[in-house]
Amino acid sequence: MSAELERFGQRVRAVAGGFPYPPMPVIRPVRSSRPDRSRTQLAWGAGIALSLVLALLAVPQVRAALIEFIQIGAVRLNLIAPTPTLIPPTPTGALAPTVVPSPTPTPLASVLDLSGETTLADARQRANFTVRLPAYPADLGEPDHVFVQEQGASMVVLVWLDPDDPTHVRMSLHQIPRESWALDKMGFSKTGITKEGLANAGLAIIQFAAINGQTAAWVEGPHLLIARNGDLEQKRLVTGNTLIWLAENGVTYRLETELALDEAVKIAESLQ
Amino acid sequence: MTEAELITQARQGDGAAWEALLREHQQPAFRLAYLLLGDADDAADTVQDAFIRAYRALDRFDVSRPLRPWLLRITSNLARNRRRSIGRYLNALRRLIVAEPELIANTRGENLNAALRARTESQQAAHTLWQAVRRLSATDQEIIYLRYFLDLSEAEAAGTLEVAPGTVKSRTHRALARLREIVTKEFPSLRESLDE
Repeated sequence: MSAELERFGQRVRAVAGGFPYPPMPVIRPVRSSRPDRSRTQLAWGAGIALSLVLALLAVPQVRAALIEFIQIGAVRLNLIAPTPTLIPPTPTGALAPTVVPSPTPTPLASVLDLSGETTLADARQRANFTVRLPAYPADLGEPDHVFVQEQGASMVVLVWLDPDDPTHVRMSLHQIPRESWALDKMGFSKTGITKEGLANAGLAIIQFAAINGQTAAWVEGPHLLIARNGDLEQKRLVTGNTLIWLAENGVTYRLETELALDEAVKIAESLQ
Repeated sequence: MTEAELITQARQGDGAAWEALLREHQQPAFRLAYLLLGDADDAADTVQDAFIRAYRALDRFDVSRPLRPWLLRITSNLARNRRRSIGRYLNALRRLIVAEPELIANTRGENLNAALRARTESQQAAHTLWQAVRRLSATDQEIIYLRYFLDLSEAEAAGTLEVAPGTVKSRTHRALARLREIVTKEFPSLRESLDE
């Protein structure tokens, strides 16, 4: 650094020392739960995000942008185009060519916003199946957060945080028994855009893999996760990579991670 | 008692040990959150959230490393997320209307000028400097806040940003050069304070 810039830095430090910080409010030493105000804001944020997604889905053009779905066990994936798409007019001429707003920029609900947080022991007691944990990677340990959602049967969601950055989810694993989720029944027909065309455009990539002999789907890029139980419908836009497979025990597993496919398969095959 | 000992005790559920750590580090965390967010309530919420998350992840923290950079990194990440959220802007707007109705009503900003006059000259200069820093990119802002507002060492800033000390040097150099450009072009009154 030049001597001149160094002197400038020293002056910046001296001036910054006079910054009029506001008095620090009392920070309560809460150790196990979030403050009410943050929780309220979070709930409002999640509500707004969900409303926006629902509003977008109410628009026929956006619904049409959901171009394909793939069903693996209890999970249906709806692949969506993350960039504006030109929808041609219908044969009746009811719709003019329109640029479809993509739902991708919608604020995302985090997996940590799920309700029903509990302990691993409680989840094991409530689930009607054996809750499995990955033995790989060796240093993974037990999940940082465990959620159980009662939807006909108990669905268990395990979340591991990044040890160097606990604001960041390292990976999450949904364990969904056959009876748990009744899936989205909305029928979305293809718009004429093919999966291959989508992959070529770099919008979404899906490939198949095998987990202990069972077929698994691997999704990179944005997709909408939808589950329905009676009148309750949950939607979450997922931007990470996801591996989904139906295991021999009838449980559907859904591993959401930023890792590559080969690492995700190793984790999946290590479940025990 | 050393910081490592306090962390060990806090891991075993000792609330007093955790409170001692919180007292030690909450002020720099709050100041960083305030500089990034510009709102005291939001900053306090962010710090509260950061400490809760840190507590939950404490078992995995390497006690041979200093705690402050790790806490500041969590705080900074949360502040960045909060800055992007819709709710923050709605809340800030609501608080402004509730707290400063006459300021909103006064289109000529006379009340604002009066409030600014009440600040001391050094506070005013620091506040103007903050306005200039906020014209920088998020990466440049962060390094200026850590090194010059919070007065962290290069090693502490490197730990907070998870980069090598050499990267802190180069980022600092770049951010300072850009800040000087902005000050020169857009904040002539501040130039006098920084040229003294």
